[in-house]
Amino acid sequence: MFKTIEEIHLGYLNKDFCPSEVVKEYLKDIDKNEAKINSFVEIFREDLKDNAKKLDDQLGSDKLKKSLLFGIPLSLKDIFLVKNYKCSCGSKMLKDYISNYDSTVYERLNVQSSLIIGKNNMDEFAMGSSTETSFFGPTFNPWDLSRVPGGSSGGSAASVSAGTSCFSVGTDTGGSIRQPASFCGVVGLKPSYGRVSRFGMIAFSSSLDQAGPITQNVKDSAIVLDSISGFDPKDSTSINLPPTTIYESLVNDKYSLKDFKIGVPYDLLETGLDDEIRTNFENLIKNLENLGCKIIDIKIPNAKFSVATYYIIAPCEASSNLSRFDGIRYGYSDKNLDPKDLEEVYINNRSKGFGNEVKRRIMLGTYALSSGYYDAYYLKAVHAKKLITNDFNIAFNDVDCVISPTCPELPFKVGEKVNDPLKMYLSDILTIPANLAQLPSISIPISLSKNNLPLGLQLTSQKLDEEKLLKIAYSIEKEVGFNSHPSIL
Amino acid sequence: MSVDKELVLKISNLSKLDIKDNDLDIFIKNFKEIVEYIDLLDSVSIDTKVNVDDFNKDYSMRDDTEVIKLTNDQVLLNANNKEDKFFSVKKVIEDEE
Repeated sequence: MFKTIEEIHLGYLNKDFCPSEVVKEYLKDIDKNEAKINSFVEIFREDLKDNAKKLDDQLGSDKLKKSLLFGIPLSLKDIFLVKNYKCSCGSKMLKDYISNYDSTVYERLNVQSSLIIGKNNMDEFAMGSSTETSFFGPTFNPWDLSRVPGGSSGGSAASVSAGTSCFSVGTDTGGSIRQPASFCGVVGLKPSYGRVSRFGMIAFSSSLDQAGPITQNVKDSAIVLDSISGFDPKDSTSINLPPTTIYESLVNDKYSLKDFKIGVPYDLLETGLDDEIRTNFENLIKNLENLGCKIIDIKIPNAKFSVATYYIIAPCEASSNLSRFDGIRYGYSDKNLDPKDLEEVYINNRSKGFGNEVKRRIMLGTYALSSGYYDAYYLKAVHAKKLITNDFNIAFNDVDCVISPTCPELPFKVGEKVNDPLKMYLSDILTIPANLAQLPSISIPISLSKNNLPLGLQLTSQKLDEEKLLKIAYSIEKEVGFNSHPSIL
Repeated sequence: MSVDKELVLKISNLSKLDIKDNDLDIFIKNFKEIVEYIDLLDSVSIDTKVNVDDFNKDYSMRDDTEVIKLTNDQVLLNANNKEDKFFSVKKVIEDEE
């Protein structure tokens, strides 16, 4: 079902349909498409129908008028805890783990009477760019089932793209919302670090992880951000600001593309871009200029260190965060083991519970933090992170946002890179800088390739300026008029 | 230090992970390629005047009060071995001779 949040909300206000009817349509599409794309790890079918039924009689209530998310069916990346439901994080380690409290993201969506359809597939512990590292098997791209949907929030992007959920919330540590959004032809927003609470979100790299919406358009992205953002005392890195109110200003303020100066880091795009992506991007820049937008060549000289910096900081933090998984308090435990000591229990449970990519990153982090290497790796990486942030701050003296293609390449084939981790890592080269600099960044679909694969545009603005970012994204979205859905389903 | 079998086994031991023998060669190869790539950071010069800690200026500590309470049963909900109100693990202290 391809209805936006606004369209479903309007339908409820006009009493064109009720939540049970909407949910029935989504479940019908899930029955039709899910076996082909594998975008969910669990669907809360009966609870969903029951919860929708409870809302059917409330269409005349204030609740509907006050909340745009009333009765909206959504899905969550399986990294967010929802009390009494499983949360696997794409891993065998947590395949039977039952959450005993709610994540703040879910709590805030639930209080607005939205309807959770289920949990989306993802790369194991959010480590991957293709959703192929999931213990539950890969998700397939709805635009071409032989290709990956991107990752790590690949299940989220694929389900929104296939119309099996109205929107999803994913997480982005190095591009894990924006890259799959680009590959699946939907909108993915990574807010500023600290904008959305990480409480109840399983940690990968705590200084980089950030939750954000994957939606069908920019307006829906604003609606969801307004609902999940805002200070949370349960997350010590949550910024002490109230929830955003961007949807209202997006719709009501007067602005046009002529009001904005847009920076393009041409030096960063000199090599490694797919030809079709380059041509498409250059055409878009010409169109924006013709529309009166000021395009400025900017430099982010230290961005060349981004991937190396990321692959030190993120694994270092992951090696620490994932040390909690020992199979004792929770997590995979080998029932057949007769251990000689406690260490054997740890090694056995961790070795059998984690997949190879997770092991590789834990070990990379352990290596970089081990005695004698800290100065050579971690200290340098933290320094490079600061230099990249400074580069952006200088650029933002002259421009309102920075744009580039979201990804250097089109969605790749399933299996193409799974055995070449470095090649996989390099596919995040354009998305990682925003994570390192803690900046808000969005991917919007702008067109289709010759082979009918979506192409995404990434926009990045100053920290905490999501409002300007979404205004520019919304203006461009209206101009490009991308309104395609996968036809193969 | 070059990445070889000895280093990878040492790191896997520190990480409390066991890499299967038939996965070891490909693991060493991939690990080596990644480490060679991140060595790119050798060319970042450390400027002591750059303050790398000011990322934390936006955050503050909260009062040391309880914000979420889990019952004993909730804490033990996912435990693989429990006895009474406790997690149960393999004995770690040897008996006195």
